[in-house]
Amino acid sequence: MKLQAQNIHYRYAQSEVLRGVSIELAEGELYGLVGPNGSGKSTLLRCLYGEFRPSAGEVFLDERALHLSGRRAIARAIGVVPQRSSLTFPVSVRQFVSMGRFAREPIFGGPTRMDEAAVQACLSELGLEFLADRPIDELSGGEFRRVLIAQALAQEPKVLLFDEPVQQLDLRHQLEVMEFARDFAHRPESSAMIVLHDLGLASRYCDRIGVLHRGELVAEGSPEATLTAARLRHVWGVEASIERSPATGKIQVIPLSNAAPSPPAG
Amino acid sequence: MVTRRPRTIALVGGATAMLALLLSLGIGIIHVPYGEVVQVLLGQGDSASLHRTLILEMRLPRAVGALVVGAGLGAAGCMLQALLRDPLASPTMIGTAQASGFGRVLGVFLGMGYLGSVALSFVMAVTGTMIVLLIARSRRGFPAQTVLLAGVNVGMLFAALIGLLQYISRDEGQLSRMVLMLLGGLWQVTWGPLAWIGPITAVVVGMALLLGRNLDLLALGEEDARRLGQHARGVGTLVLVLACLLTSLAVSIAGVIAFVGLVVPHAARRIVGPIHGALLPASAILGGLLVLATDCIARVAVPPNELPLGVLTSLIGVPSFLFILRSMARGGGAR
Repeated sequence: MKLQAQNIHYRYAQSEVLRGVSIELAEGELYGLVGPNGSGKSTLLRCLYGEFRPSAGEVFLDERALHLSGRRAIARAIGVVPQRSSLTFPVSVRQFVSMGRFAREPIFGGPTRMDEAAVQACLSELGLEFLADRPIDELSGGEFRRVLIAQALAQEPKVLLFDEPVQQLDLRHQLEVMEFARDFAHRPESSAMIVLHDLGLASRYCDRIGVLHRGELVAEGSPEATLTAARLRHVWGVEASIERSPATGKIQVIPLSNAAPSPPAG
Repeated sequence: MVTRRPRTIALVGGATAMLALLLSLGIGIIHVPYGEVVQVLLGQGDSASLHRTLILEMRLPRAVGALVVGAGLGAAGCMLQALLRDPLASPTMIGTAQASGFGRVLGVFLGMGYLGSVALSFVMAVTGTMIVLLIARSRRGFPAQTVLLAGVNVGMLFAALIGLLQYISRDEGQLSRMVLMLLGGLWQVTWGPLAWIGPITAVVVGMALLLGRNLDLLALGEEDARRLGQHARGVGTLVLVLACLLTSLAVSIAGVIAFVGLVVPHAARRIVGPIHGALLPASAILGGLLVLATDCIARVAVPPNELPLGVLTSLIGVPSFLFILRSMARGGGAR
């Protein structure tokens, strides 16, 4: 399944957050979306699953304009792992994950046996079986992240979008999430996009990287081609050393100091 | 954190409600032996007896009315709590009940018939709720605190309007009808209005039951609900309309009865868990049972008089509400 944005713009009240972004998520790839705070990453992600409607331009899911598809159809194709989610009335892990089945359940009937089996499969895929009956407000950050992923997986999507999924996770859980994203993206007909701040993780795991800067996609391609010292200076305002790690064979970004003068906030 | 099957809940709850209904028919200032109650219900015995009239024309419609009102308010409270993601939401807390009561009183004031004033009560319930939600709406949905503050204030506005109507009403009969209506009670329930309010309430609760799964999603918040495939705005609006309809139907029979819609969903949540396929029917049944039981107490507590039902539900509701508040403050409760 191919997810594609063509020249989309998005404005909040006064400011234009996205300024003509074209981006394509091809089958089989893990795409890393990077950029400084406020560069429009989360907004772009929200446009890609129809939470926001671009003020100009169009998002296509397999050649079909996204806004013409119903929510159910979108949710069956695209799963989203949000930054956070809260519940006023805490449900169990199993109940929370099962809400991912909503778009596949009968409209009025509620979950069927098939849905329950699918939920069970997602729980075991993410190693959550032993937590299945725990209330979600009693989980640790890492556990809750896995629960969010399991919920998105329960949608049986072909595309997974992750919004800063490794934030506030320890190293072990960061790697776990990244490995899951990569493995998912490499399944047949599948793909994933992941918004990241950690450029090292991006270069290590992503097949392709897009750099957003003030609402524009200023670079796109392999980690080596996109994460250069010049670009880090220009986009992040940071002097950095780019080194290849002998252990992974991937480039590693080591921030050294803030470049002078610092760029205007945007 | 248990979740029981909706079918079990309907079966157990329905049977309990029937049993409670039967029990309530014997209770009153005049005690009727249960053997006789059953005989009357089966159509046996002296057709002109006093007990027969008492049971069939007074206690039965009143008991059925109690179940209808309680079920409507319990379900409405449950739906509003899911929609607003707020354990304190209820038809009274967000001003819907007061607005509905104002519509009902306005109907009396304007000399409208029963049907007209119930319709007006519904229109006002929707208007009041819309005012609250329009004030409280932010880009991220409905923040609980703003909704509650706006709701309490809009509730006060409609209470003031009710006071104004009572003040300018020149007709003594009209005035006493207004006061009785507002105290909240079931003594004026007859088969006439019940014959259509009962079925409409049942149908609306039935429609709400079909939305059970959607309420689970709504309780996640609009953005999460959309992400998982729900047309959250549309479904939310539908839920709101159904909750207003249930509230105004209940108010039209029984006046403003506070706390049922607030307390009942919490009690139900403790029994059947947070999933609405089970929670909503449980709230409806529990609400019916609560109002029925309270009405029985209201009937016999201070013979030969009756306590106003609305007063009694508040006497029971306030401590329950404070208990909920306390357990929330401790972090061990609903939030």
